[in-house]
Amino acid sequence: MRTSEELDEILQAAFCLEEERGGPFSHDEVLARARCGAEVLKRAVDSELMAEGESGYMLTDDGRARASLIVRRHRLAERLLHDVLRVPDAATESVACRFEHVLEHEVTESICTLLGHPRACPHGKAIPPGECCVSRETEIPAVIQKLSDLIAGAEGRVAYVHAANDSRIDRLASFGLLPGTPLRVHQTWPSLVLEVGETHLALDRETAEDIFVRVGSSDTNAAAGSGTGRRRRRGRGPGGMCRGFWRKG
Amino acid sequence: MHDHGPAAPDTPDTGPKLILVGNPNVGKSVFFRLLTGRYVVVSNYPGTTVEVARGSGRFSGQSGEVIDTPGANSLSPNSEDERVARDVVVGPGEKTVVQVADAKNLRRALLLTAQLAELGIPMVLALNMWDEAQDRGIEIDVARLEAELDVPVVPTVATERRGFRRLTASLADARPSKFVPRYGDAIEDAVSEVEELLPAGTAGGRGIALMLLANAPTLEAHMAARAEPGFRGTLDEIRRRLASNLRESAAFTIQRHRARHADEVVERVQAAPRGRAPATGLLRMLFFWLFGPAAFYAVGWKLASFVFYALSGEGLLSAIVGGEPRFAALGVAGSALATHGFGLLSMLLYSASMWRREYRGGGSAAAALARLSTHPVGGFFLLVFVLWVVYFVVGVVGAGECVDFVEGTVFGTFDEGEYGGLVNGPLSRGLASVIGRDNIVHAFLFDDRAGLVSTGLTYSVAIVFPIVTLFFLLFGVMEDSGYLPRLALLADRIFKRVGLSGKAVLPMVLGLGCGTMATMTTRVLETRKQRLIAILLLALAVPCSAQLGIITAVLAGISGTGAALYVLVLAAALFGVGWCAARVIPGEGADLLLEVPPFRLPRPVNVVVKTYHRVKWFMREAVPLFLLGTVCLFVIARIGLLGWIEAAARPVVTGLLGLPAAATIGFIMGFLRRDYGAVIIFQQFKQGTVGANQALVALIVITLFVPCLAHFFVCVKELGWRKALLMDALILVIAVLVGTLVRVLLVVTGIDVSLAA
Repeated sequence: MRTSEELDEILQAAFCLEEERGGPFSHDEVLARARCGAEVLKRAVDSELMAEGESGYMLTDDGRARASLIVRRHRLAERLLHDVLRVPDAATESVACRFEHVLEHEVTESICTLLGHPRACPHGKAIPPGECCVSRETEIPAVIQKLSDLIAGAEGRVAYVHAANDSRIDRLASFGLLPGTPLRVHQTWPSLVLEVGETHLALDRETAEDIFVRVGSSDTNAAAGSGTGRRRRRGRGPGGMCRGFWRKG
Repeated sequence: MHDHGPAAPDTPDTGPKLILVGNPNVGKSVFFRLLTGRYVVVSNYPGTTVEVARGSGRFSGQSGEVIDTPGANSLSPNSEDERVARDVVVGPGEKTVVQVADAKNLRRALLLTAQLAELGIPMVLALNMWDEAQDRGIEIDVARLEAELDVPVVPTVATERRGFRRLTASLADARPSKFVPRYGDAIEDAVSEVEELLPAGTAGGRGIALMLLANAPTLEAHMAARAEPGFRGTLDEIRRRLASNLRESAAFTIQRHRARHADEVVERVQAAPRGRAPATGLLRMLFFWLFGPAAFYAVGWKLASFVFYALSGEGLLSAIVGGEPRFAALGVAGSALATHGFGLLSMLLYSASMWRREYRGGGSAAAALARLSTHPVGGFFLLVFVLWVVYFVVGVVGAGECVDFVEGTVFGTFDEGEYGGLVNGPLSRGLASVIGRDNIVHAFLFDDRAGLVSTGLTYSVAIVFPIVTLFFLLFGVMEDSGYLPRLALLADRIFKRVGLSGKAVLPMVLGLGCGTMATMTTRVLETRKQRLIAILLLALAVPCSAQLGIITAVLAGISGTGAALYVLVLAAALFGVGWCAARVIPGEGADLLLEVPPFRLPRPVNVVVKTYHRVKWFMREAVPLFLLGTVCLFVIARIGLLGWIEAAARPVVTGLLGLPAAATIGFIMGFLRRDYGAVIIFQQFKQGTVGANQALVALIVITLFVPCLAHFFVCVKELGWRKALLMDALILVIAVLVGTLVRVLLVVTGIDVSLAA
């Protein structure tokens, strides 16, 4: 178990290095990044996951495939912790590091679907797409969905805005469309119209694809949003629900 | 390009200044009029004001300059008009800001308040449209908000002057707001570092520093010019360091903090909406039970008639396909029954949907209209209805009845060597009795081709004036109702193909009023590429109201096929050129992100005043150009230059376009004003020197032709000489090319568009 985790770490480090510079990397760099010893690198090379070329080390095709799965798990975990569970930033990284080793394939795909197939982690790095992103199966009702996938009448709050285009984000922000803003979809065709407070905003599909929404009526979201709200809900909500349920039964 | 630096030379440094700032479409211009008595155009859509308006007024016991700015959602600008607003706010001098807010949208207003507070400018906050907020059950604790912001807050309804007196009185208490958010250590550290870099004596250092961190190229250039050398390098270094410490961009993080801050304040001062009261009233009943059903009946009937017409013997389709009449079997009575049947069907569908969705739930007429106008099907029906009303009022009533009356009866036309009418007839005869008929003075004033009075004045006043007035009147109603931005929703998908967003509908539709104004309105578009394409298409293929009226009059004289061809060819040219331009011009494409204002009942006074000012402005600009054009024409005709030009243009005008040489005058005048050119074609068509097919070709060429002088100068102002001239040359080539193609098409297919055919 331990050895496979070390191997995961070095593959992940190699993947990130390749991603950052678009080419091979040196022996020392990858060891420093993965915080492990030279014997792990040797083992990766022996298992034909990495190879030593003229200008440094690089991942083999097998290695890259395996590494991209690890990175995918890590970054999805970050998204989950950050957007849904709202774990403080400082803790996200260390928890995500543990998640990446233990997530089963099916669980990973479920998380990805739940989060609406996000394209980037909270730091803006790309999440390698998995099978579910291609087939778009939506058996699990997603907690976070793309604005462009919502139907008229849906309500929710902005979870995050995909960070590919700064000027688009700034423009959305200047209209007050920021994480946490409650919204309601007024219509979806021929253009999308949103109700944000008393403002009606028209936007196009391309922009709507960048906005990820935590779906649900805005009241329950408001409760989930702040600490006091969560307490309030725990104190009142379930009790009321149970009473109603029992009386009915 | 038109570039207001923060210290533009036309900004006087002396005297106190009162600056109106606020989100788009909140009523700044109404306050401007109240404060200064000067009229600026007021409408119900974001982007009415794209330039800074200045006037003098009295406030806080002294007189000073009042400045109206374009609406801005942020002082970190995303478009040209926002930048103009920012530059006024950070400009030099002693100033007070009146922030005009939409009381319904306190949160968005506070995002701007925070930025004004950071700049440390004394301000008061006007919570405008207080009545609309109340109608929607929004309650704001004004005293609490005053305490939170530490500035005077006054609820107002500007259009009714409510709260205006209290607002001017509160100006004496204007002070910098204490609503200054903290942004976390990383940003705060960067802010204090940038503040130290700023040139000595920079006011509002914190605000400026935040703008620079959020990236503000023009402001940075301005600061760099006054700061110590190395300013830019150090600033870049600070920004880089900040970026590595932040998860998202600096601008976004800053705005996020502001929003959180604003949310907290809103939560404290604003109770949850009570929900709106069900609407009642006579107008609502009329809308649901009379106007709506009637309009839908008319549209269903008209559309069905149009389809039948197109498919039957006379229509465009059979003219191209060459088929037999298809609905002959139905007969006259059968066709009438079928078309009215469609009218009834459309009315019933509309009524059922309205009753179910709006009326039963107590929705207001405005809300129902708002939903209808953006409905995928209903929206297009409404558009057809609106276009039909415009055509009827401007084309039939204006260009037909009014022009006939003013031109024929009041001014008088030239007929068999003599003028009739009340103006031209007596005047020309009177002048002739004094100095005789065959001299240059009489000819100068009453020449039948280029007389200053008989042509210049008559054309501009008799033909252009009624058409323009009626168009502006209708246009004012559309502007004030809030209909125009909704067209953006319907058009966005189509406009994307030509590299524009739906937002470009605003300048395009304004272009149907006046291309000069519309070209300035392109400033609301966010990217350079969009503006370039929009300006090109405006200059090329969007006929202005004056021209449109005359074109409608000519089209009324040729067959429906001809009219349909005209529209099709223009649409094809518009989209063809736009499609190419979108691929050739480098730069970023366009997002649609637009605020849709609520539907409002237009205030008749505002519509009339607006029309009056627009017509006045239009006539002041058009009449002198018409007169100048006539004089030029007279001179070149007298010295024989006209014949020479006609001969020179013959290969193009006669050879390519197949028009008589006399039509050349129309194109020459087209350089001055396109509508003048169109008037000449109109006249020649009426006299019969130009046939129906020729008139169609001429009309298409003159529509696509180079923009008028005033429009051209605005293009120069927005694009620079080189690009504007290049654009004009391109347009000239396209116009002749399309005209030639249409002529060839007509000859090859053998289509005759005269009414008799």
